[in-house]
Amino acid sequence: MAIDLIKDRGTPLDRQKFTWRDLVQPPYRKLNDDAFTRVRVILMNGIEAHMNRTSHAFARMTASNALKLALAKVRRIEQHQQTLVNWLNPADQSPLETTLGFEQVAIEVTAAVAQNEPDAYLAQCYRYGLLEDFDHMYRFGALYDRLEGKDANTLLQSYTDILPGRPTAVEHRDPADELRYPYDRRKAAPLSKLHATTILAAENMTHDYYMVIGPMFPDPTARQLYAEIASIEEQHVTHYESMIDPDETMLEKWVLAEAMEVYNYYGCVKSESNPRIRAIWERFLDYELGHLAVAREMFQELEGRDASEILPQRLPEPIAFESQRAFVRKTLQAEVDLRAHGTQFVDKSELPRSSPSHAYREQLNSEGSPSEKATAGWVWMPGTELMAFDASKFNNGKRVKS
Amino acid sequence: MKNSIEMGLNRSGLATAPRMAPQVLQVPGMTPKSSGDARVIANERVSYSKDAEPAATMPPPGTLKELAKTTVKLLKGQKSMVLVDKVAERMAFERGGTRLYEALLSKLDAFGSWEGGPQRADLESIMRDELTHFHFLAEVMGMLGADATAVTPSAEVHDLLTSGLRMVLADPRTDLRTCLEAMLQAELVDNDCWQTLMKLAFAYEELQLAERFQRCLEEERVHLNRVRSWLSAGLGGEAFGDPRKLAVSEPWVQHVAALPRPSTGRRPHKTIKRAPTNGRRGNGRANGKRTTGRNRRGGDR
Repeated sequence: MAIDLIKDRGTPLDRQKFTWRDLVQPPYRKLNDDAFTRVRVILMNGIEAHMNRTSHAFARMTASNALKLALAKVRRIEQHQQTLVNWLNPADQSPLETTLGFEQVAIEVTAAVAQNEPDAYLAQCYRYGLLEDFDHMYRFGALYDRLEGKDANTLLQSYTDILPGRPTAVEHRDPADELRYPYDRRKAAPLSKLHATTILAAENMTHDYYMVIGPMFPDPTARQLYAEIASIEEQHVTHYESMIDPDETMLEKWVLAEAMEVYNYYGCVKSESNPRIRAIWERFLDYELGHLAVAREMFQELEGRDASEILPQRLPEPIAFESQRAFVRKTLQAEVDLRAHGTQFVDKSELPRSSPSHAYREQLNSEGSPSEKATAGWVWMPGTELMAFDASKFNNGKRVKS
Repeated sequence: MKNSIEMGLNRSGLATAPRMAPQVLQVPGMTPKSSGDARVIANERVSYSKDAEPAATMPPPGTLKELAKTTVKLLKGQKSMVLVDKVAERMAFERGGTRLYEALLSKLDAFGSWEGGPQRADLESIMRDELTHFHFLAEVMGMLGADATAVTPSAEVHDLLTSGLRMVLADPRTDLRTCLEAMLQAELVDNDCWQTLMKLAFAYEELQLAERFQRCLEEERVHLNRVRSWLSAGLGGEAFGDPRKLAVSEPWVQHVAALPRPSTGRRPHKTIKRAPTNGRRGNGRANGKRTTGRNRRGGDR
C-alpha cells in the first residue's frame, strides 16, 4: 500500500458518512486486547481532538468564507471520527486505568519518535519530555496500587517499566524554562514536522483528560496528584508547541496536520492486531487522505502554493508501536538529571540558583508534593506491593515486609 | 457468549508475556529506595477530613403544614432525621432497584436462562415488588412530613455504592449470570437495610410501621434466596452439569428452595393508616409509659 501524499484523494468528503450506531461500536477488551491497541486508540483520539481544536482556531482567524466552509466540513467529519475512536474505550476501564494508557502512549510513542527524529535538538526535547511522563507512570501506578489494590502491569502487559523518572516534584518550571526554539519550516525534514504535531496532540489530550477526570476522584492525594500532573502536562503542551515554526502559514499548518493524521492512521493500520479495529484505521486512513486533498486544494487556491513544496510524496516509516524499554532505560540512565534552562538542557548542578524555576517549584511544593506522597516508599511489585507484606505483622500502624 | 466463562487470550498476567516478563521483573531491584509507605496517603485523608463538610445535609421537611400533620409522635426534631434519612435511602434504592431489574430483563432477553435459572415472570415479579416498596416508602416519607423528592445524605451514599452495579448491568458485554452477581449484592444490602429500617421503627416504638417494614423485609428475603438459587444453579450447571450441585454443597446458607418458586405477586401494603391521635398510637406507650408488648411484633431483639 504505497500512499502518495501529493496525489491520493482518498474517500471523497460526501462519502464520509456515519450513523449513531456506527459511532458507538463495541469497545476493545481491556484485559484481552494488546496494550498497544489501547495506546493507538488513546493516541488517535488525541490526534482527532487536536484537529478539532486547531481547525476551530483557524476558523476564528480567517476572513475567507471558502476556507471557513472547507474547515467546517472537514471538522464535522473529524468530530465523528474522534467520537468513534474515543468510544472504543470500554466502560470497565476506569479513569485511572485510562490514565495508565495515556502515560503508556506518552512513553512508548515519544520514545519511538525520539529515536527516529532527524533533528538532534528536537530529539533531545522528546527525550526530555519522555523522562517526565515516565515518572508520571510510576506515580499513577502507585496510586492504582494504593487506592484500588491493583497492579498497573495488568494493563501495561510488561511492555513498559514502572520506575521513577525525572521526579515529578522537580518538573515544575517557570514558563521561561519551558519555551524551546522552533524548527525552521524551510529546513526541517517533513518527518520532524509530523513528529512535533503528533506528540503535541497526544500531550494536549493528556492535559485535557486529566483536567476533566481529576475532580472525579474522592481521595485527596489522588485529587492533588491529578492537579500536579495536569500542570506538568500544560508545561508539556507549551514545550512541544514551541518546537513548531510559527512562521508556517495557517494553511501550511492545515496541510501538515492532515498529513500527520494520514501518517498516524497508516502506522495504526500497519501495527494493529485486532482485525475489527484495524478496519477502522483503514477506513479513517482513506478519510484522512480525503481531508488532505481538500487542504491541498485550499492551499493551492488561497496561497497559490503546491503541497509538494512542504510534503514528501511518500510517507516516512511509521511510528513503531512496540516496547521501547532498552531506549528508555538508556535515556533514564544518561539524562534523568538534566534540567531545562531557557531553551537548553543542562545538568541539574549547572542550573543557577537564581533560576526562576527554583522559586516556582519551591512555592508549589511548599505544603508537600502530591507525587512524593503518593509514592512514599513504593516499589512496583508483580501483584501489587501488598504481595511483599507479612500479614501477621500488619498491625498497630506498622507494615513489615516479609 | 451465553452465561458462561470463555477461555481466551487474557493478557493481564505476567505469564502471557514470557519474553517481556523477565525484564519487568528487574524493576523492583532497579527502583531507588524512598522512605514512607501508604500511611502518607492515609494521613492526607485524615487531614482533609478535619476540614471537610458533609457531602450533603438533611433537607428541610416538605412543608410546615405537613410537618404539623406529622402523625408519628416521636418523629419530630433531631431524632426523626435518622429515620427519615434511612427511609429516603431505601426509597431511592428501591426506585433504582426497579431499574436494575429492568436492565436484568434485557440480559434475560439477550442471553436466555438455564435450568434452575430465572424466567421472565420471576424477574418481573421482583421488579414489581421493588416498585411497590418504592411507592410505599414514598408514602411513608409523606407521613413523616418529609420531602420524598429530595435526596438525603444516606440516599446519596447508597446511590454511589450502587453505581458499580449499574455499570455491570448496563454493559452489553455482561451476561445474565454475571448480572445476577450484581443483583446478589443489591439484595444482600437490601435485606440488611430493611432490617435496619424495621429495627429503627421498632426502637422509635412505631410498631405499625415496624410491622410493615418487616413485611417488606420478608419479601426481600425471598428475593435474596431466589437470586442465590438462580446463581447456584447457573454455576453448578456450568461447572458440574448439575444445577443442584451447589445448593447442597453450601451447608452454611439456608436456601428457601434450591430452585425458584413462583412469586406471590402480593402487594405488601395497600395504604398507610394514619396512627390514632388520641395519645394511643399503637406504639406500645400510653401516657408516656411503656405498657405492654415490647416484643410483640417484628423485632429481632
